[in-house]
Amino acid sequence: MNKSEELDFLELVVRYQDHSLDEVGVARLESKLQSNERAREIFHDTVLHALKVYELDKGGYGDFTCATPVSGGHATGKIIGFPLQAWATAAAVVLLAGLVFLWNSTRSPSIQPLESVRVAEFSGQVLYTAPGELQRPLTAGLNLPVGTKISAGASDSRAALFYADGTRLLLGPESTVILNQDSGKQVRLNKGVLTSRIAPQPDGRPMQFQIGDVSIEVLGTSVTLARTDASSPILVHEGRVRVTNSLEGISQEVFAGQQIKDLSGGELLVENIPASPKEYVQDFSSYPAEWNDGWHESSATLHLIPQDYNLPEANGNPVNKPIVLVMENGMKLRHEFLREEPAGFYVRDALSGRSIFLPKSRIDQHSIYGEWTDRNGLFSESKFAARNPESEAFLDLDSDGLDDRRQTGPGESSFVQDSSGIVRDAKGTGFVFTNEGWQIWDESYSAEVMDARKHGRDGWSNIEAGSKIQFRCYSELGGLLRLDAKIMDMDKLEIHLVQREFPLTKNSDWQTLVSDFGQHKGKLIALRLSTSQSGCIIDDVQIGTPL
Amino acid sequence: MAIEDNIILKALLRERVRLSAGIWAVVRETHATEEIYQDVIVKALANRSKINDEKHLLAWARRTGRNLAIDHLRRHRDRCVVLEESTLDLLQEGLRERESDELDNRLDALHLCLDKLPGRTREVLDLRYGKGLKGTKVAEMMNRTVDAIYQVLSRAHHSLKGCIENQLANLGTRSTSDSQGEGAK
Repeated sequence: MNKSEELDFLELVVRYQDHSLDEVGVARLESKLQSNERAREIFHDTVLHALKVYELDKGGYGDFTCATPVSGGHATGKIIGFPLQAWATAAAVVLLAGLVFLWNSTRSPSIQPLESVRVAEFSGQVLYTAPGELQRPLTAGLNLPVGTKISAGASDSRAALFYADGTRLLLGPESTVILNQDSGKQVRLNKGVLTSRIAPQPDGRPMQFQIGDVSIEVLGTSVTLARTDASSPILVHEGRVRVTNSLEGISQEVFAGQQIKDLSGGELLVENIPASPKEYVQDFSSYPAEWNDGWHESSATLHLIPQDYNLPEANGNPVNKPIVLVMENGMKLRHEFLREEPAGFYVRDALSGRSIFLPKSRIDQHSIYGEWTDRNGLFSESKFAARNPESEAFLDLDSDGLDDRRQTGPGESSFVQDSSGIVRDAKGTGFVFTNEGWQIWDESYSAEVMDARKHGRDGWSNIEAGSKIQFRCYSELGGLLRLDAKIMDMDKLEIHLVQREFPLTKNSDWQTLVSDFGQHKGKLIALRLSTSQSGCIIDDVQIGTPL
Repeated sequence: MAIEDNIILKALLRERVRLSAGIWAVVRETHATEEIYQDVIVKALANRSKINDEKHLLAWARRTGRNLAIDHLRRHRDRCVVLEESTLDLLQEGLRERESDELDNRLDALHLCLDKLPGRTREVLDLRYGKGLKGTKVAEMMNRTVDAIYQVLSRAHHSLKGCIENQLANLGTRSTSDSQGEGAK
C-alpha cells in the first residue's frame, strides 16, 4: 500500500474503532484485512497505539509496558471506584455503596494530599476545570485537586464528591462549586445547591463554605446550602455552623433543625426548619380491581411527594425526606427521599448513604421489590408482593397455612423478629421471605473484590509494603469478621493469601477497622470479607498506603 | 493434570499484549479491554482444573477473551457491527506470529514516538483512547468536525508507525555497532 492507500485504510480502521462504520464500511475493512497482510499489521499497530495511550493515561499498570520502560512517567494515582456491595442486614433490606479506592499512587509511594476530592458518582452533564487545564467532562473515580471548579448542568445533572476523611458533598443540578483549601477544607458555592455531610475535622481546621461575602464555618456534620438569583438559604440538619457576613460584620450560629432563609440579606435571621412529614398515605381504594384476597400484586404505585415541605433543590423537588417503607414481613426500611424522576424515585439509605433508584412500577407504600441485595450481599432480584395495609402481617414459615405467630400449642416453634427483619425460630434459625416464599436465611455474608471489580473500570489495587485496608463496619449482633485477601506478586508471579480476623463489638454505631497485608506486595486480585452473623454492614472499604 | 496457578499467571501476563489486542479488536474500548483481560485471568484461575497445559491455556484464553468481548458488546450496544470470526482469526494468527521481543521493542519505541507528536494530535489521542471518549465527543471538545478528528487519528497512527520504524532501525544499527565493538575488544 502506498501512503495514500494506507491513510484511507487507517481512516476505515479509526471509524471501525469508534463504532461508526456501517455494514458496508465493515465489509470494505474485512476485504482489506482478509486479503492483505500489511493491512493486518497496520490494524495491529493501531491497537497497540490505543492500548499504550490508555496505559499511559491511566498511569501504567507495569505489566503492559515492556520489560524496560523507555522513560519514567507512569503516571497518576489510580482509584478503584467500584461500588462494593457489602452485605445486608436482612434479605432485601439495605444496599450499601461501599467504595474501594486507593489513596496511594503508582507514581509515588506517598499519600495524595488529604484534601483531594474524589468523584464518587455523577449523573447528567458535569464538567470540571482543574487549575491550568481545559474544562473536561467529569469521570467517576477522578481525584480533583484543590482549585478545581465543578459545574453541574441541567436538571438531571448531579455529582457526589468524597474527601478522603469521609466528608461528602452532593452537588445539585445547575450548580457550580470551587474546591479550595486554606487551613482546612473550603468550598465556594457560586450557584445552585450543595448538600454536605462532614466528617469531624482536625482541631483548628474547620471546614468552611463560602457564598458571596458570607462564610460558613462548619461545627457540625450535615448542611445544605443554596444560591439562586432570588435567595441564598442555608439549612443545618445536624450539628451547627457559624455564619459570618464579613461585609455587615455580623455572625450567627445556626443549630440542627434551623435555617437562615436568605444569607444575602442584611441580617441573619434564624428560623426553625419546617417539620418533615412522617407518613405517606396511598389511597389503595383507587385500585379496587387489582386487589385479590387482601393482596395487591401489580401496578402498585405510591405518590411519595410530601406536601408543605420543600428544601431548596434547584428544580424545586423536595429532598432529604424520611420515608418509611414497610415490607411484607413487617420490616421497616428507612430512607430519605432524594428526588423524583419520570420513571421512579431516588432514595438514600439512611445507614449507608447510598442512593437507590426505586422504579415507580415497583414501589408502593407497603412493599418494594427489584434491585435489592440477596443474602450474600450481591445484587439480585427479590420480589415482594404488596400487603393490604388493613390486613395483618402473616407468618407461615412451616407452610401449614396457619399464622405462626398465633401458634401456641406444645412443640410449636415460637418466632421472633430481630431488628434487621430476620425472623428466627426457637433454635435460632433465621428465615426471610422471598418471592419463592419463606426461605432459610443464609447466615454467611461476603463480598468479593473480584466480583465487585466489574462495576469499576480501573482494575486491581496495588499493594505495597505498609499498605493497609480500612473499612467501616456496623454490626448489630457482634461476632467475628474474617478477611481473606489474595495478593498476586508481580515479580515472582505467585499468589499469597492473607487472612485476618476481627472481633466485632455489638454496637449501634459504625466501627472503623484497619489491617495490614504483612510484607506482601503486588496486586490485590481477590478480597473476601465474611462474617458468621447477620446484621453486619461493611462500607467505605479503602485500600492503600498511608503516610 | 491441572495446571498450576503460577503457570497460568506467568503465561497470561506474558501474553497480555496479544490477548488485549484480540479483545480490543472486538470491543474497541480500552477500559473494557482491560476489564475483560482481567476477567480472563480470574476465569482461568477458577477453571484451572479443566486446563491441561500452557498451550491449552492460551488457546482457551484467546477464545474466552473473544467470547467475553462479544458478550460485552451485546450487553452494552444496541447494534454491534463487528468483524467476522474468520477475520478475527486471521488477526489473532498474525499477532501470534509476531515475536515477543519485536512487540516489546515496538512498545518501547511507541512510548518515545508518542512524546514527539504535536500537542493537539496527542490531545486527540489522549481523549479518544486514554479517556475512551467517542469521536463525536472529542470533536465537540476540540471544536472540530468528527471527520476532522478521524483524519487526525489516521495521520497520527501513520506518523507513529513511521516514527517507530525509524526508532527500530536506529536501534538495530546501534545493536549491530555495539556487537561489532564488543567483538573488536
